[in-house]
Amino acid sequence: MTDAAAVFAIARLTAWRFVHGRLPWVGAIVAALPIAFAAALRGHASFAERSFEIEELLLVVLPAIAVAASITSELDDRAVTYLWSRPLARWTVMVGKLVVLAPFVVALVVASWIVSTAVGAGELASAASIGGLAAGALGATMTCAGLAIVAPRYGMVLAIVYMLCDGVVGEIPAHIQLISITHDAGELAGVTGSSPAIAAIGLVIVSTAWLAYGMRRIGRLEA
Amino acid sequence: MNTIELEHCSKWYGRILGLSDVSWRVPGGIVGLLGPNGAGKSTLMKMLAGLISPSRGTLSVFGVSPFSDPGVRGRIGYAPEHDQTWDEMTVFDLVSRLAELAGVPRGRAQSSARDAIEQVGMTGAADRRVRGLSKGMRQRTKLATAIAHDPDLLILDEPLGGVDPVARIEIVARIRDLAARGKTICVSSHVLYEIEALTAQIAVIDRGRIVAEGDVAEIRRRLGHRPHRIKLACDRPRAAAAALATADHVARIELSADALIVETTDLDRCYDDIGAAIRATGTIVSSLTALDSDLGAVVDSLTRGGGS
Repeated sequence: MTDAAAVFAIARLTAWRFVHGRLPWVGAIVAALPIAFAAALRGHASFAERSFEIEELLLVVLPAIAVAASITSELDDRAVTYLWSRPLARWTVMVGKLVVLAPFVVALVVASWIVSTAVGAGELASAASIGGLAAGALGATMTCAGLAIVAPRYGMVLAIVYMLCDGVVGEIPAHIQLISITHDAGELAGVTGSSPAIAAIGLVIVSTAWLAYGMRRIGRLEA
Repeated sequence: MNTIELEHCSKWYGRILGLSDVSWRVPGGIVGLLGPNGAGKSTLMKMLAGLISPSRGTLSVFGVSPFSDPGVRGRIGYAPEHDQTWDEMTVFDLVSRLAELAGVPRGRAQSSARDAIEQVGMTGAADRRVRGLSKGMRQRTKLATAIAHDPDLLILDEPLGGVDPVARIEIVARIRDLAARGKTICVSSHVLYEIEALTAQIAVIDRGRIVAEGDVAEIRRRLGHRPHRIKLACDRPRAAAAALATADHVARIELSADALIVETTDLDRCYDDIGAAIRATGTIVSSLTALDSDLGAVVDSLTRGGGS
């Protein structure tokens, strides 16, 4: 079985479980929270100030719920023995899940931002802000996937705590803020700074490093 | 080449020793892995399935390591002891998707799944969700997931655990069918008669060590210096005991209201003398059981520390 075939088979399995599970509903409810916030502050000056920060909270919660939980749940309940006893490299399990779940997370974050901007400010979200949030959502998803493998039993909690800390690091007025996914997303969106290229590099390095770490570590885990 | 080869394999879980310096070879056929709970059976089975790697020593299946070489796992079918799986799926969905993940082309996975489900006698329940299945049905479903990709080696961890007698008979028949078709099957159990129903080739494991392996009869021969125990259920146990008591090979006799248990150092002579005693006393016998031909006695003897 080739790695590509394995990724495809895992993606099909993940898609089936995704469609038949609760995740679409849970994700939609979480993504609706910024829209509710926008509706409450419609036309208010504080909406313009806070709307992007509120939207960034989705980067803390959604990837952890959708990706970290999905990757670690089978490890926790031992169903992973069915996957790992198959003739496929374990990293293909992570990648196959990401193929399905990453677009879901990105789409929800982007959709939530577009709708909340339309509801709260009565205007269309800028292309830059959409791109920044989409990149941030993708980076957060990859990061949470890698993080989840650090401590599979607590994967989702660990991912949420990390992303909360990520937000704090992003507020530090020093170069270290470039390792913050939420900060980099803001930079790319044109909300917080003026160096989107450096922010893009920071985002790629951090999220790729975590994903690579997870893909390497999962090969050594034992069921 | 042996299907399974372990050379001085040990496995630690932190400071707990799961497997201790095990060397074992399985050329083919059905081999039973027998031992009490916590003996190391599941650890060994997981190693064979490529789920965990030995901390020390080497393990190969079809000549390669199943942990580091994923390709060989396509020739292995593994049914774990636990029941956790994707319960929201139907039996058919589960078996066909796992067949696909085992390398069966997508177009053929569904027909392979149907065949496997039929082989384990689950055709009528193929569209039922796994969540609602009985223990026996779950065991058969696990067996179907293990055989759907037509593996050469089956590793079945406690496949008869918790199933009712009817299901047990069916599962035993399926496993024997698979062995008759040339599969190598490694099956574990802590329930002795389950293994006995499947095979005479056993490896006895206790505290992480294989304490005996081979044919049950061979293992018994290795225990030859130990007294054998024969239970005679009859209407006049006291009279039969009196007739046997003087024989020099009889080490001990236990009496109860409707039976006696004879401990002997010479099994053949003991059977002769029991026959003579029955005739001489006119005793009516309801059953005659050689207690230590049961695997339980073998395990007990070996795990008490007397195994050779």
